[in-house]
Amino acid sequence: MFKKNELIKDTIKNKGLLLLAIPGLLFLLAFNYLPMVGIIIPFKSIDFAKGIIRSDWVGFNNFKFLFSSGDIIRATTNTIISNLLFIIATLIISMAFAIMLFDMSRKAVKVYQTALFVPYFLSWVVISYIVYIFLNPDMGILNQFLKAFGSEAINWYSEPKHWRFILVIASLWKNAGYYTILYYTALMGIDSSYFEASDIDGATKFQQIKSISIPLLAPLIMLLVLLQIGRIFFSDFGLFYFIPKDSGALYPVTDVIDTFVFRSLKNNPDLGMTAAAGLYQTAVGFILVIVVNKITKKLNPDLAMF
Amino acid sequence: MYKSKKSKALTLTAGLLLLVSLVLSGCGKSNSTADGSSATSVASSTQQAATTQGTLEPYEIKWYIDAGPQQADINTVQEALNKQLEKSINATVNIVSVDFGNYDQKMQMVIASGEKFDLCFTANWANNYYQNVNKGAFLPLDDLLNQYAPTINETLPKIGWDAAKVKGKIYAIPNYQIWAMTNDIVVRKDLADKYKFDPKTVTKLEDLTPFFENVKKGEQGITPNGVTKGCLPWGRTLVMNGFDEIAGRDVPGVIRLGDADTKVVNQFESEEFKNNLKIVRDWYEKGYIRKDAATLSDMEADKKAGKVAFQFGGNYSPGADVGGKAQFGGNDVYDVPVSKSYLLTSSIIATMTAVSKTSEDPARAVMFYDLLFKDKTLYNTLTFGIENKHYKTNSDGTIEMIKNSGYDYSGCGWEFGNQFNAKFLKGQASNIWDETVKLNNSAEGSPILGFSFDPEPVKTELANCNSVVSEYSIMLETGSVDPDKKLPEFLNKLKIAGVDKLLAEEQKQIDQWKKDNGK
Repeated sequence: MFKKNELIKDTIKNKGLLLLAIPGLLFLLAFNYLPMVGIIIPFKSIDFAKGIIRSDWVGFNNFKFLFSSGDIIRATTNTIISNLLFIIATLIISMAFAIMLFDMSRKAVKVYQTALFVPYFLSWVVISYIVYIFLNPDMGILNQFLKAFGSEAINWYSEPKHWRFILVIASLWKNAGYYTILYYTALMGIDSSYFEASDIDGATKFQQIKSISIPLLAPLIMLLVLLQIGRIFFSDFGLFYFIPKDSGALYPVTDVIDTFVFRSLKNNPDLGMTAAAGLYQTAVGFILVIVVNKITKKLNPDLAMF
Repeated sequence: MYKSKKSKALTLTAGLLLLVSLVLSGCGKSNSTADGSSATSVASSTQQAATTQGTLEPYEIKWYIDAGPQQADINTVQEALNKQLEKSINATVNIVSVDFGNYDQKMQMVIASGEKFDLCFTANWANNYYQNVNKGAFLPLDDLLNQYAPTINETLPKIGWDAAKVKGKIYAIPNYQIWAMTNDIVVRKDLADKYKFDPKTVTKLEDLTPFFENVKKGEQGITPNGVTKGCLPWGRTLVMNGFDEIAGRDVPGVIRLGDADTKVVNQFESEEFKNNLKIVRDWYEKGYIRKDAATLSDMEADKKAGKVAFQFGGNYSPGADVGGKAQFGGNDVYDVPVSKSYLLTSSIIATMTAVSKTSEDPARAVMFYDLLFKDKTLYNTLTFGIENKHYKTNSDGTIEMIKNSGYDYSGCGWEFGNQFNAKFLKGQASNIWDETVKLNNSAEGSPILGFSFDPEPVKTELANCNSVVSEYSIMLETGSVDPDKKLPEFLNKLKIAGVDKLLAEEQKQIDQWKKDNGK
């Protein structure tokens, strides 16, 4: 009874804020909660004549293709390794950039900020052509360099060994700017008296970064890393499909779950099988978030998300 | 106090505004399309009042075609078509043209969402016929055709219906055009003549090597052989190698043309495939093929700029050298058959039109399609537009498209009904349709002509094999990697993916089909 009253009171008190939240909530409801009904699709053999609800149940049949070929293991390892590399590289680089930006003048910040942020708005298709200018086997800039220095040209699109590195660079080039700005804004939010006090105590820049900036950014870092880990089973399809130009020779390192599923179902699109792959990704991603959050909670309860 | 009240009011209005704008923007899209179609139907219904015909209610036929982006002047042409259609079947047509790259996805969305439409283009290479039939997206047409399509029934040879049948029923109308499959090669005439290369003498791939060598040596900046991942020597010489595909291009499992026992073999394990890879690898290493062929989707721009000497054509049709000349930037070409002609299920079902399950008046859709076969004016208006606005008629009776007139489907005549209704474009010989019909009639039938594969029992294996094939086929078939190393790896992975089960299922279905059809 008491609780109910409290809820009504709270609602009345915050009605303006709640009203503001309505569009966002509706969006969430329409695009995140309603589609969850689709969780039944992987367990059905979809027949358009019968519709989703009345199609026949087929149990786990749709999941078979995921696990019966050896490729899913390769795709899963590639997904995790690449995403881990991306997360670590992005974290280090964008933190470094943010700290550098923080010590610059306003004007300089604006220039660098824009320069860093522009690639974020380019699509992977465009970036793939920029990469192609560098890696084209006949006329690419890198091969011209190699030839000029007397080394042999490399056929980049059929040599898998370089591609972990190339993918990390491409991902950094596009995404680091976005994270830099997130960290930079967080740095701006730190009470300047910490820095002034440490200045008076004669702290060096490095000590300031170590003892003020990083600890105060830790919650944000944790949050962003957790979010990224939650999506570690999902890969940026554009990055893995367009940048290597879907070259078969590179699959040993560039084939991830999304491209694998796309390839398998391209010639035989089956709603049930596609949805099965999606469910597999989501389920594992969900478990990972819970696990990482549990670990964080053990290490430092303040940093955990929930 | 006052201030806080005001700010509260502000948040409220802001919130409301956001909400309203969100709702409005959500509706925006569906509104605009609804407006478009209702406007045309209102316009047409007023016209119909004047020319009411028989007992047929006015009806709008929505037709999805795979013919590039919507033409700018489509409305004028649609009006002209509708004027004719209202008189004969009291219908109007609403054509939605989708670009080639997006058609597949667009139709999957349209069909999955249960949108109401009447006709759509379907084939084995776009908006996949068999998958849609299996999903229940198309109507069986046997009865409708008997009742409402006298001309189509009369015009199309029986073999066409055999090819279109799935489990004994017809789900789409094959468009009448070149049906015979003949592998061909396209060579630039000036270069062939310069190096004394006679394309007619080519019987095997090795015969091409000396010509490539000459071009490589003698012509700076010209690619001797325009191989790309969209133009692979193996796929485009499948018939030349004596194979017919069973479950789709590049799906493991073919039969040998002329093999009465119809034994299913894995084409990737065949001697022919091995030999093909060896030659192409040799071409690649000698620089006759571009080094980035495996990642190149096409060379159309290079062809237009006159930088390609030769390409595998894929399928020969009479008069193809006229189209070839346009593709090769105005350079004359030889377009020469290099294999015998065969009628294949795949070559007949390459262009078809199906009636959607969601159609509200399938009978009218079929009547309309029958008219496209019967009425030359209707067909030609649809393909070329309106005379003197979109095309001109020359003194010899051939026609010429007017550039940038906003309407031109002259390259997509195979998309609608009966292509043999088409007027002749400038440069096309006036006997090409007769020649084509002759070629269709003289071609030898494949032993499995009319057979269609049901992927359902092996869809796991099929998906797995597809993914393996797409990993290896392009790099091997462009010669980008050493077949001695990669081919065994490829075959081994196919084994793991379950290729044997797939082949066995194909054999089982073919044997069953032969029994059922008394072959």
